[in-house]
Amino acid sequence: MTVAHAPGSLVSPARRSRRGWWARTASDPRFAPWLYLAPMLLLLGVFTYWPFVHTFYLSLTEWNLNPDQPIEFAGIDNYDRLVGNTLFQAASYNTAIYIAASIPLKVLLPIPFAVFIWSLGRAGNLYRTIVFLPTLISFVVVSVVFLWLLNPLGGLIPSFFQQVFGWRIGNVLKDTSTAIWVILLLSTWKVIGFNILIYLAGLVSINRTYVEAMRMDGARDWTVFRRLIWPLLTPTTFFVLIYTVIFTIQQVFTPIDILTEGGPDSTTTNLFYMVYQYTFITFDVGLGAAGTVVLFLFLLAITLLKVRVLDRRVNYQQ
Amino acid sequence: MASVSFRGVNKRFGTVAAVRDFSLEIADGEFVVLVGPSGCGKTTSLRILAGLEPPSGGHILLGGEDITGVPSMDRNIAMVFQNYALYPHMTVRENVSFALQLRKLPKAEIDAATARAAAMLGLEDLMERKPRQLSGGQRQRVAVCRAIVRDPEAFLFDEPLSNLDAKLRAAARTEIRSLQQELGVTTVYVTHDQVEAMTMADRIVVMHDGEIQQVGRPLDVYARPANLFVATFIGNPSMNLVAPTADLGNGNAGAASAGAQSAAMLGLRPESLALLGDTDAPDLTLSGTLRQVEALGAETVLHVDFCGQTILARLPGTVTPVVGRPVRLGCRYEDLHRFDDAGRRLDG
Repeated sequence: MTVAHAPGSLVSPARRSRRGWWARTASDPRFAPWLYLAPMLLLLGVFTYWPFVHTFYLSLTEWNLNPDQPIEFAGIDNYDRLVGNTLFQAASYNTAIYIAASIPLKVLLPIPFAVFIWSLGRAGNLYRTIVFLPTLISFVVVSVVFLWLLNPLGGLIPSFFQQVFGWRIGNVLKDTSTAIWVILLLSTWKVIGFNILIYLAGLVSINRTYVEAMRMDGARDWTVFRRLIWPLLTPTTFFVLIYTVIFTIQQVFTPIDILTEGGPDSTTTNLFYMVYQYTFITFDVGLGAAGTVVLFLFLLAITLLKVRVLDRRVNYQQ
Repeated sequence: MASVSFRGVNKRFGTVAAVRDFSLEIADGEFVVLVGPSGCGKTTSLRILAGLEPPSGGHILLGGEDITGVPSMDRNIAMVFQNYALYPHMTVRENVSFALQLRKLPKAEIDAATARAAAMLGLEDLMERKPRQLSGGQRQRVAVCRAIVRDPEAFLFDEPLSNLDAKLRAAARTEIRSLQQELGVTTVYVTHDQVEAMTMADRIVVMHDGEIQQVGRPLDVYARPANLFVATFIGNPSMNLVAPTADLGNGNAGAASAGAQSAAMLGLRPESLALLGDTDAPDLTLSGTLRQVEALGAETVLHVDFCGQTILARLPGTVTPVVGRPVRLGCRYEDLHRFDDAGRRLDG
């Protein structure tokens, strides 16, 4: 028996009638792309876009997290209050310090380490493992360990300086001039291994015959680095710069919370921790939400600035 | 310009000997080609001369001066790499002039030298392009340009034509050879392509398993291969090897047998063989069945089944025998190459 097919159809009518709504929709070119995108769109909608919209809404209200308390519309009052608030001013200033200090410490400092390990070839594998180890340790554990190490009463670090150099080191976490640097150094120690690995991945992509050709041209180590490795490493540096600046704000949340709780005198808090302080310590949800929106705009501005300004100066290998 | 000497150079990578007792004298202005199969140690020898690999033993002399311990940047040797190694973030002009910039020469001098070198290679219109904007042939020329601009004492070439297509490769061979003759710079050229070796070199150095097998002028090596390896490596199609016990026909049997019996292996170049008529009586005759014919236009290569092995014969392109028919191939006794048990050439 032969079955007549409709012109242009690959499926017999008998077979098509047996197919359900789901199969028909999945093969319909109008709906199929949306169907495939649906799981991701659902996740993004629920966990990213809806919270963002809701945060923006909360930033225009006054609420204290109490479910029995009605949410009152407050317009842009929260933004007004935020700008005049000393905690916000201190957090903004500290955020600028965290970012500015992160560039030499977390973006540039790993480069010489990575180049050194790269130059060792296979012998560098041991160093690679050693520098990456801190990345694997939980930041909570690291913070608690450093809390002990820095304890002015018998902590290993103050005792070491006392016994070896005769220096008396007080409580650096309670000192307004040192606390932020302790957190910065701690977070640098935590991420430097990861950044070194990223730089090593970038270095591996540089063809070693370029280095040999440059040596044959008469270049010494510093010239090879300055004229070859640095320009060819710029895509990696650019990537490390972007994510370090963005994530350094979030990353230091844990040591701030465990070591200083934003103090002393708000000298270690940043915009990210400030949002937590407003929302979950003083229960001023409107102010916390307004801070979140400001933080978002700040990070968006930095990202756009970097893309516009720095992307033009990046050398990508063919 | 300077002479180059390898004196008993060895190189080991762990337990593997990459180069063994490599000794070679290269005269000032000479074009020497190191040729051999992959892994024979030719590139390693070149890299040792460049200073990119330290030798495990022996000495390297440049212009009579021992440079064994001198780092590559201080050797004043220019090298063209297999992948050209053009700096991808620099323009052609920057690539070519880079070595001169490092010498801190005056800008006018750098510009003049760069322009002169670019003109020699016909690169004037490409100077502001990045390597990724160039074709393979243009990149190769830029790499050569970068080498000549420095006015080095020696040029090293590491298979610089292997990434080019056949037509471009033929043109580049001529170009490099002409340039070298014009500049008169001592040149060491590494290739696995025997056509490059034969057509470009003043002398070729055939290498195998890290050792020099034979050094000589291309035609001398071709005509009088020192051993079985050289005999089969040089020449395309490669030399036919026949056991002296094989039936070498009824031509001048006495002379043939006398020569053949003292050898462990006999060699016959495919072009030494001729297709015989019924009445021809050469010194040696190989009778067999024609299995395959490769008609290449200018020449025809016959695959003849002879005593259980395939014998290749290279004949003029006008000859087109029928596959499957019995054929008789003949050659002169003086075209026979004889080798002893160890594979060494037997003269006389």
